Amino acid sequence: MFGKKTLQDLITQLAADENVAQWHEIPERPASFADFPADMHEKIKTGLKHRGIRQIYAHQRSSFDAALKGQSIVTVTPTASGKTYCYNLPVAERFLRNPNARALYIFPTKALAQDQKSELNELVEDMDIQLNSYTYDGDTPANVRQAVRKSGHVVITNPDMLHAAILPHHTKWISLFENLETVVIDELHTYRGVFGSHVANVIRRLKRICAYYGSRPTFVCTSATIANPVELASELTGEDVQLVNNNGAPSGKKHFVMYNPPVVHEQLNIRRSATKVVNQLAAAFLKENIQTIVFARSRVRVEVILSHLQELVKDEIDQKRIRGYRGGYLPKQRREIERNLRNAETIGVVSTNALELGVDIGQLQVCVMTGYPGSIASSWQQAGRAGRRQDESVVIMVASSSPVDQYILQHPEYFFDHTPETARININNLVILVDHLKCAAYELPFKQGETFGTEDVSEILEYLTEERVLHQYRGQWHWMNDAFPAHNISLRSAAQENVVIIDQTVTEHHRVIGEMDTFSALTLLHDEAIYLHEGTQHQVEHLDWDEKKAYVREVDVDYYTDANLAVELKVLEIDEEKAAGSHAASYGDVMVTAMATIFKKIKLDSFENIGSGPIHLPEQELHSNGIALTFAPDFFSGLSEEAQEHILSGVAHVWQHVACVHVMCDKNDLHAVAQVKATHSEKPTVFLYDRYPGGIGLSERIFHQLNDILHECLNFVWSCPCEGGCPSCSGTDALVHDETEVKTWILKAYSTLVSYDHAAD
Amino acid sequence: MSMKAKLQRMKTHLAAEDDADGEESVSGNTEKSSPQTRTDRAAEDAFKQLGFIPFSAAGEVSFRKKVFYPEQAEPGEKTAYERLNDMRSFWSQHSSSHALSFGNVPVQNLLFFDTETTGLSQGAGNRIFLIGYARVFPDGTEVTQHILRGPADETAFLTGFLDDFHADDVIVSYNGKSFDWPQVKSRHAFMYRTLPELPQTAHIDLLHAARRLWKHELPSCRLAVVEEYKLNNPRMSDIPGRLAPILYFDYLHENDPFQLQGVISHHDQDVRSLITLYDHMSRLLFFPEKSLPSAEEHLQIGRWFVKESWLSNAEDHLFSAAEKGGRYAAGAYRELGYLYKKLKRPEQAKTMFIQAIEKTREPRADLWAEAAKIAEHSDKDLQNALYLAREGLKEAEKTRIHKEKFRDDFEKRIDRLEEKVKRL
Repeated sequence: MFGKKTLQDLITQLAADENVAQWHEIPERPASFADFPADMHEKIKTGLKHRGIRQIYAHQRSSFDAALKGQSIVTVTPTASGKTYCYNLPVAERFLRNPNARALYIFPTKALAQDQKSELNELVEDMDIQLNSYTYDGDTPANVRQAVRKSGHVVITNPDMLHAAILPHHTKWISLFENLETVVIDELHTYRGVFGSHVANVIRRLKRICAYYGSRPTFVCTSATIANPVELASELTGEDVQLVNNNGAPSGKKHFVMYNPPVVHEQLNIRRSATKVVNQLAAAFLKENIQTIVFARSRVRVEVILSHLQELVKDEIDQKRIRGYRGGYLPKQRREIERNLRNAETIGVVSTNALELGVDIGQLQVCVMTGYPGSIASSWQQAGRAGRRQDESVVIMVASSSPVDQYILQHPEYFFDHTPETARININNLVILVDHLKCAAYELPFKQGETFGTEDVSEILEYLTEERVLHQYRGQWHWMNDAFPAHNISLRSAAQENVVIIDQTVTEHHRVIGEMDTFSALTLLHDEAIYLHEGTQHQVEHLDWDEKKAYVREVDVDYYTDANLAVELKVLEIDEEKAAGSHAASYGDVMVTAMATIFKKIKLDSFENIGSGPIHLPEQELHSNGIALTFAPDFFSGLSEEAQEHILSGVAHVWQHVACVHVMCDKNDLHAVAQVKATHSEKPTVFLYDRYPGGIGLSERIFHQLNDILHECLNFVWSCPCEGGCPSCSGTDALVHDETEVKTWILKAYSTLVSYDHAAD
Repeated sequence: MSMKAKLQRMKTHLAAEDDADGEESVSGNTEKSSPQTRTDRAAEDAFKQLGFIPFSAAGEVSFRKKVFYPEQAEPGEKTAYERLNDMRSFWSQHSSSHALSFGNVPVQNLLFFDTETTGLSQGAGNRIFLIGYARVFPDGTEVTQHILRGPADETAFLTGFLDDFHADDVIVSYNGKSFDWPQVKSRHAFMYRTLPELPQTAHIDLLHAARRLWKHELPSCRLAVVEEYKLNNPRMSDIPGRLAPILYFDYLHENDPFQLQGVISHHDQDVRSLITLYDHMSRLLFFPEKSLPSAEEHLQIGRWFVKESWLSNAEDHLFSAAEKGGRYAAGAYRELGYLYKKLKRPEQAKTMFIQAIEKTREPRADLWAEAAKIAEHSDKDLQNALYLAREGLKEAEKTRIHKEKFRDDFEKRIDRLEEKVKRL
């Protein structure tokens, strides 16, 4: 056909594009196989041979050997490396050796659980064995539940269900808990932050119940690439976990391209919209019939890109061959899209991060990301969608104007050379711990001297006894309250009383779409706020603070809202102190009182301020952990208080963004505050604290890598191409103030905060 | 910082468990922590004063109380035992099943059963603290109650209960099928290693029956409401059931068994009420000439009998409801229409449907449809069928639910009938 271009042609063409900021090549790698283990049951071997498999990959073999020895493991291998065999094979083997053996599979979402069930069923069919697997979630009909409890060899569920429906009713699950040999935790890396800290405590409860019924399961975890898989797996499971990372799956050559759209507004350093650029890039591949996936960060974006793409390629490609994929689609529809992607019926898909998790869609040739996905780990997850075992593939990350995106583009070494982010949990966050101790005591009484995990909890049990929730009786603590504690505790947040978010888009059909802790609700759910739910924009029509209900409606607007929080910060206790360059840093307990004052409407593409309004909500208190950077008293001498404030808020802005990138958390998990005269020291201070009661370990982590992070902050501001400060590098507040060279001062601040002495951290 | 200080400071972030209705303590003791005030010996004496006798099992202690309420029949009346025995002979003569039937089981094997628990949730942390039942003997009723001394005495507590409970007993409860008995099973499963087996017994749940009879009539089918309106036996000075958990927590907190006095007598009344209720219900169902059900009861009982396939009993009750006239007559005729249709007696069915139409101000479209069907297929009276279908169509326009469906059906029926008439 005339003019037909190959993938190779397009790669060459792209290489010549002046907006390509980075080009990184990942060489191909051959497969590394292992023989079937000698002790593997014949039925499994036959089943695998039936599927055309005569050898397994090295990492599958390692997992099998370790798991069968009872060694808990975490396997870290890229997308499409056959990770399900890492757990399905040992589970099948254990079933064949002991027909009573049970396994529990935990997936972070319902959809993944469904997928895994069909996959396991196909395998079981090929092996010709009588292994029953069931999903157990909110959709499981009541009449099936009985069968799942009694005869499910493999029960596939999610952490929320385990927490609220299985563990508190363990007397109905005795045959599972007595015979539980394997617990599978898939997508381990998703269990971080507050959610991970909750899930770790759910696992403590699970193990406690197993111990009561006399079982001691092996944990098989699988994770995307993160810096600390073994640490996370050990903390989450409380087991000694062994790493399996000898990936044996082959892969073709991969080009990783970072693309920076051209600057269209020099002074403000505003670039062409990433969305437009993504459309053009993706269309070029689609027109040549090259299978491409486009990732966008919100549902709205997915729909916008999808319709543009369909329009752009309508002469070459049937529009039906390009599909959207996001939360909110019906399961049946999603299955159909997945199937069509596997058989290449569909050549283009535009997706939210819903396709980041392990749904099987086969391997595509090109992946285009609209903006940095927020973490190195999820970038690699998305990039993993492109790349076939034999052929070349291309991944293009198109940067947006946001500070984080620009930072990544300036520092490709951060992206390519750094180990991906560390996933942190704080399993002993007091609020979370107390919540789960209640649940645990409800499930089984605590004996004197009994630990929870390895934690001595007697003081908390005594506290709960004083609160008349527990009753101490003959050396045991018993639940003595008419409540059902699991119902009041949501794994997705740490605060006690949550604001329920009600979507009233469809008048006759209001539905609850989520909840949020009260502290975050102040700035994210006030009247008129734009609230993003799984990427969909909603406007808050009314926040009923007394009833803790936020009524929202779907909208499609080109701005987001940013609320101003007047924050008072008190240092309650300093745990650690050290020098930060010529200034000082301390870490400890803080009490934050916050009052939301006004909110601004900020344009999505350009960060322009396009309106504002007042917020009327009561003051809130938060006890947490935080870091204070205290500037030397004479540092700002000669500057007005107003100028100091602008500089400090610029410092805070950069610190918050860079720190979020480093500890792999959402930008709302950490909050930075600037004070010209801090209450505790009367000195100019910038604070950074965990936005959850009791802290989730983020600021602690940052404190221990402080010098590195401050270095990164300095580099980031230094490398920003703007002249005197822009929304990227110094925040919007800094812009309004021309007489002081805010950017220069921010640079000065950071260059005196960092230390070049390697012993500093 | 010490954990204690941290906990105190974090207190605003830690969720408090709400006591029912926010009432912290019924005894007025709202102090956070006043440790047990009585010795175990003093508590045991108090239990004895309340009529409970301690016993040991598996190294634990539990308390049991048995009270006998003698009964002599008034002249011309029967004792509870005799009345239940009448039912027994009745059930033995009828082989077909019925939700209220206890077959040929001797009367003293009926266990009028109830529990009190520390909460309404059904998970592992909800405990039964009072379990008991009434048995009826020729000379009176015996109430047995077991009380849980403390959370670590559950084995003794349940062993005591299982001791005189047998596989050939029949449980009669109020909501026991979905609440009390699953709770017993859950606690038993939890301690199955140290407990005798749990017998599989038959179970009659009177809440199900009460709902069939009185769901539309009573504000709720709670036992207390049924007692007040149907057994004319309102509870005076009774402890509301929802306070039971809090009273038990107070007892544990202070080790003061007198806190439980109200719960104990409440439970005692509950199990004895079940005897009266069972008797009352079975008489309404099977001896209406003496028990004189209301028109509405006749109608609901009739419907229930249809469901249980006791068709001749259904017919009697529905006719009684129809004959009493009033607002339930139309419903009764309608049920009778469907009953005769089921029995393949179209003639009578049509009469009943027509009656139902005549007795209602706004006859339901289905009645016209049924009558038209019979006219067409069984009477072969096409003109009449056409008339009925046309009337039905007018009616369908007025109905609110399934309007389109009825209208379509009638229009099709009319078209077809007109075709048929033309071909004649």
